[in-house]
Amino acid sequence: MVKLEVPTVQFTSDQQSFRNEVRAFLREEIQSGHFTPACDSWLSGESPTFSKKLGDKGWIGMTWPRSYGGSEKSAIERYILTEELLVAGAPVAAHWFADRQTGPLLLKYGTENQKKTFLPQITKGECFFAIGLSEPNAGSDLAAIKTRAVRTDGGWLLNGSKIWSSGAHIAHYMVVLCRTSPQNEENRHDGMSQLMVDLHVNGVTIRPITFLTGAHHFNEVFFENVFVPDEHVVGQVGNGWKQGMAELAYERSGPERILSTYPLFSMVIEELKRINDRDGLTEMLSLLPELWSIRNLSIGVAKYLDEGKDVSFIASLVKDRGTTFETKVAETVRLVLSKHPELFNSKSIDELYTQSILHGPGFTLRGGTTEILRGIIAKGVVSQ
Amino acid sequence: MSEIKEYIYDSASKFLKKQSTQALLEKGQMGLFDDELWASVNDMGLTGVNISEAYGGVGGDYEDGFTVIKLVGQYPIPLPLTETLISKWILSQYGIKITHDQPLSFYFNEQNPLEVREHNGNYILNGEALNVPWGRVAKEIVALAKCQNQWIMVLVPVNESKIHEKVNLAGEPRDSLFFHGVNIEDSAIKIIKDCESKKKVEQLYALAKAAMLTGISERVVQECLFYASERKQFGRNLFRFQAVQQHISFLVGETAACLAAVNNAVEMLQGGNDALSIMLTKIKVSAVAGDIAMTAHQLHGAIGMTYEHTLHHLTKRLWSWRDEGGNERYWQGELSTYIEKNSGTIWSLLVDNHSVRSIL
Ligand SMILES: Cc1cc2nc3c(=O)[nH]c(=O)nc-3n(C[C@H](O)[C@H](O)[C@H](O)COP(=O)(O)OP(=O)(O)OC[C@H]3O[C@@H](n4cnc5c(N)ncnc54)[C@H](O)[C@@H]3O)c2cc1C
Repeated sequence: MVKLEVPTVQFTSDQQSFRNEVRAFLREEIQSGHFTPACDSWLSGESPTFSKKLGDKGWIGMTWPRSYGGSEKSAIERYILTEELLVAGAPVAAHWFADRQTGPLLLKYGTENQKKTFLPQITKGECFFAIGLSEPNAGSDLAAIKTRAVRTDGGWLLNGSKIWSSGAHIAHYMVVLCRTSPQNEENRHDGMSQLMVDLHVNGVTIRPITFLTGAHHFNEVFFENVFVPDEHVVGQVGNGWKQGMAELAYERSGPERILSTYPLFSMVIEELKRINDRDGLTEMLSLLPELWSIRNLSIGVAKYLDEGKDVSFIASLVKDRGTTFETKVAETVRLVLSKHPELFNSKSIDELYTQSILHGPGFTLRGGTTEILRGIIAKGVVSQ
Repeated sequence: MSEIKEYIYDSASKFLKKQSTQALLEKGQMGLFDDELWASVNDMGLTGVNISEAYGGVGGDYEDGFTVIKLVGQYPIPLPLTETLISKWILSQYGIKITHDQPLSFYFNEQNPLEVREHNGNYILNGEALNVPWGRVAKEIVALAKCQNQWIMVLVPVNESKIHEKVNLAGEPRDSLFFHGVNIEDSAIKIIKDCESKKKVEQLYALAKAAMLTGISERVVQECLFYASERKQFGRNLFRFQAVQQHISFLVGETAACLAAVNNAVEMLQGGNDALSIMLTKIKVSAVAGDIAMTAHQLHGAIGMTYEHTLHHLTKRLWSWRDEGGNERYWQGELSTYIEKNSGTIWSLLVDNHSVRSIL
């Protein structure tokens, strides 16, 4: 029998009090008008001020060692924090990638100096990172990247471009996956490295790409003879592909693959309760068991990650199932509310619905498309 | 195809294809109305199809009318062409001739009709018309109203209303018009005698939206085929990947099914046997529109999520139009009522020639 079980997780009373503390903080922030709950807020809700507040509370990089600015909390506490933030639709996009990906990457592969320099700034909410993987001709086929760095005195000269870089316009650094030796058709994954590129140095140009909503979330980033010092190479030169793939496990299994449309889900349920629409409520609640079961998987994976286990194909599976749930929310809301068009006049439901519909296609594309993930899942389970 | 249909098809499709540019769609997204383009559409006679010359039209039948409407889906232009056509069709049936070239729209809502009171031989209109397509640019709207327990059709000047502007996802105006004590001419009021006519506008709008959705799905298919043959990953064109082939075959299969539904329903409308086929068509087309939009985006990857790309102008319309003219949930309710009230078997209702028309 293939092994598909992930650990179960029950929360201690300390963890519950932590959850309550996070909730109270978020309620206060909403009530004092510091943010308006939004769907997909981890992509589109950029607020350096809010990130700074979380930093002050010790809620960025909270699992990291104290010596690097962290609070040495468990992965489960971080999970609680993350899901409460998303459920509240809080503007967490600015620090998201640094907290989720860059920090763990540096902890695993970074030099002592890099950890001492970057991690404390990240935890304070003062240093944001963007993810530099995709290129115009390298989307699903990431190994086709062309951006390259050549050796120079004391570092590397970087040339090329990245595309779809979420939040690069507010980020301080980007972790760029690039070629440090020519492409080898025998092994396409050879010769890649990860460089931390300061986005404010000479030779970096950031051009906004307007999202279909008209908003500015992602960018095209050009590198023209950008000097990257040796101190900013992450891990081993030539080992970029492997390091990058390890990051993806964090990227693919978190609550943000389940909860992007949660603010809409919960607001509609509250409305249906208020107007006593029992049928509508039943229909919306048919999604609840899905949410519950996918969340169980996702927490289980979080625990595995914490124990340093290899979770690659299960992480992909969480993303596939989770994003399916995220899209179903808006579709179900649409039919349930069609009986009550006046509820759509409530500005917030209307806005959350629109966000969910228009951002929806991105859920099953970013971080590896569903088609690619399904390949990984099938291959992963067969090879087990 | 009738001769006029062929002519209309050729000239209209050439014209619309040329006009429906990215720049125009972006103007549309901002909710802007293009007067000059409206004038050209009028000059071409597109606002007079299926209206006799006596009523200022260019003749033709429902099939011709829906040919134009479907084209507006394929090559969207932000103008109330569909709305004007439907309004004129209804008005001419009631013997009202429109002498200006301005856009028209309508509001037929049995649950929430407008109200007309007679006072010393004057007619006074009150009420709110919600979600009127292109309300702000229409000169008049054809509305369903109640007057002393009688159903009437009334032609209402829009400039007498307070307008609350709203738009759908594609930026197309869906406004609410508030009328307070508006004087109406006798000649603008017609009594509706049978129940069936109350439903007529609703049915025509539903079929029009289904035709537009289908037209836009054809366009989406075209965009997807183009992209799948153009874009390469892993050294192969996207259409070589089996997962992408499944997307393509879904898009093509569903669009073909929608087209067949719309074409049959239009022919049945022309033959006077419309109620059931229109319901089935709108349900079918609305229910699949969202999946068509999502599949097209999935196939396009990130590029399709950008404002510069055309795709979102098409998918935003799929996501909006499926709810306009009654979504599938609404028509499923009507369908159940219809089936309950008709004694024949489902099979007989589906395939036999019937003269039943009423949705009641
Ligand atoms: C909202 C959003 C935010 C993003 N943020 C970032 C970011 O911050 N940083 C970053 O680097 N990237 C980012 N991306 C890019 C994302 O990672 C890519 O969109 C994704 O990898 C797919 O690449 P593509 O868009 O080029 O699509 P393509 O790879 O061209 O794929 C197009 C279609 O073909 C299918 N396909 C391709 N190859 C195969 C195959 N072998 N078998 C079956 N089907 C296949 C795909 O599944 C898809 O359906 C973001 C994307 C979005 C939508």
